[in-house]
Amino acid sequence: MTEIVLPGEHDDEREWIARAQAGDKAAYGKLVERYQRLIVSVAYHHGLDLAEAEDAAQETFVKAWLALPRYRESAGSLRAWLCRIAINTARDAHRRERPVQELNEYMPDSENNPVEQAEVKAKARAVRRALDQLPAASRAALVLREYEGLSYAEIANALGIPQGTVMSRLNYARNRLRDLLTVAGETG
Amino acid sequence: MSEHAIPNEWLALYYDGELNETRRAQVKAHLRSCADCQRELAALKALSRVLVVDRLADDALASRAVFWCKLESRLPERAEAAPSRLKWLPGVGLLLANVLVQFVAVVSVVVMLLAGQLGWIAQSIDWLDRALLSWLGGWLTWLLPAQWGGWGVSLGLVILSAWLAVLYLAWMGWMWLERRRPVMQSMSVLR
Repeated sequence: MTEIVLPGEHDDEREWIARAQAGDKAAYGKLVERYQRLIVSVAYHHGLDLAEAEDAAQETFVKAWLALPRYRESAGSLRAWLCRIAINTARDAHRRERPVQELNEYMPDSENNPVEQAEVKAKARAVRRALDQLPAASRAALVLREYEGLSYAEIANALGIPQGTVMSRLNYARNRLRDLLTVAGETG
Repeated sequence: MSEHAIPNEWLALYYDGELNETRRAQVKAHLRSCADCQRELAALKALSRVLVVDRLADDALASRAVFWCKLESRLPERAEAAPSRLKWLPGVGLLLANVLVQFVAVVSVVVMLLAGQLGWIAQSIDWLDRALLSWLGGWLTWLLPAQWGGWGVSLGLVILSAWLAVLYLAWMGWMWLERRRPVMQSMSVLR
């Protein structure tokens, strides 16, 4: 399950940010630990495989480290800010890397029988293909909502768009995905 | 869906937990009687269930320690930026100067009113003219008609005060831009 960090849930985050802004790498390490999964997942759902997503996450955290002294909480949550950097980094990486995503090999190894495993992998592949067919802007909104559990306000902040646009992009992405997956036989 | 008691977009907002309590209750009540919305909600849930299959498994990720070790070696050192207190000096100086000018203006008015009542107006105006005009560098003598006397000096003080206020506002604007600059710079990282 994705960890959803709510504002105010981690009061120590502010202190870590302040210390990291002053150059404290150990404090930054705490932030990285908290958001590593989120950032890798955001990159992964932007068309990268796991290894590429981890590289993109590394790049994201380096960029964030460099830009952190200029980060202000008033401009939005750190989570949304990191997501924004991650999305841009993943898009750049995706442009550089191969354009078509291959089989998802990183599914949780279920204890089901091989037939069921193959079925799950086939479904994941179909989802991946469908996600890849979405326009980048709509996919970003959908990924942040469905996989990372960000609120509309946070998505708006991460993507630099109004909340009304988040709503319409999500709506479009969901309808389009439903069409794509219905054709692929994944939803009914 | 146009005959529905709730706007169409509320259903997705309801599903995403973005509605307030009142609207949530409205949607809940509506759902009990509307088969179309029940189907739509079920479709939203079904889509989320399908998407879950592409969720990253926790054990697929590099361990946090390994990830951090790799990252830490890539992070450049960053010298702690000492906050400069000097940048506040111009503003504080302008503010104090303005307070001083206001104070002098008030004192001069009080002195003139008192002196007028006691019949010393001529002498006090002479004294104020000399004192204030020399303090202001004498430039007001160019600007103000001689017959304005002490009131002219007060007007001069008002002008001076306004000048200081303008400078103070300019300084405030500069400080605001300075504070905005990091946001603008980080926007360039974020694009």
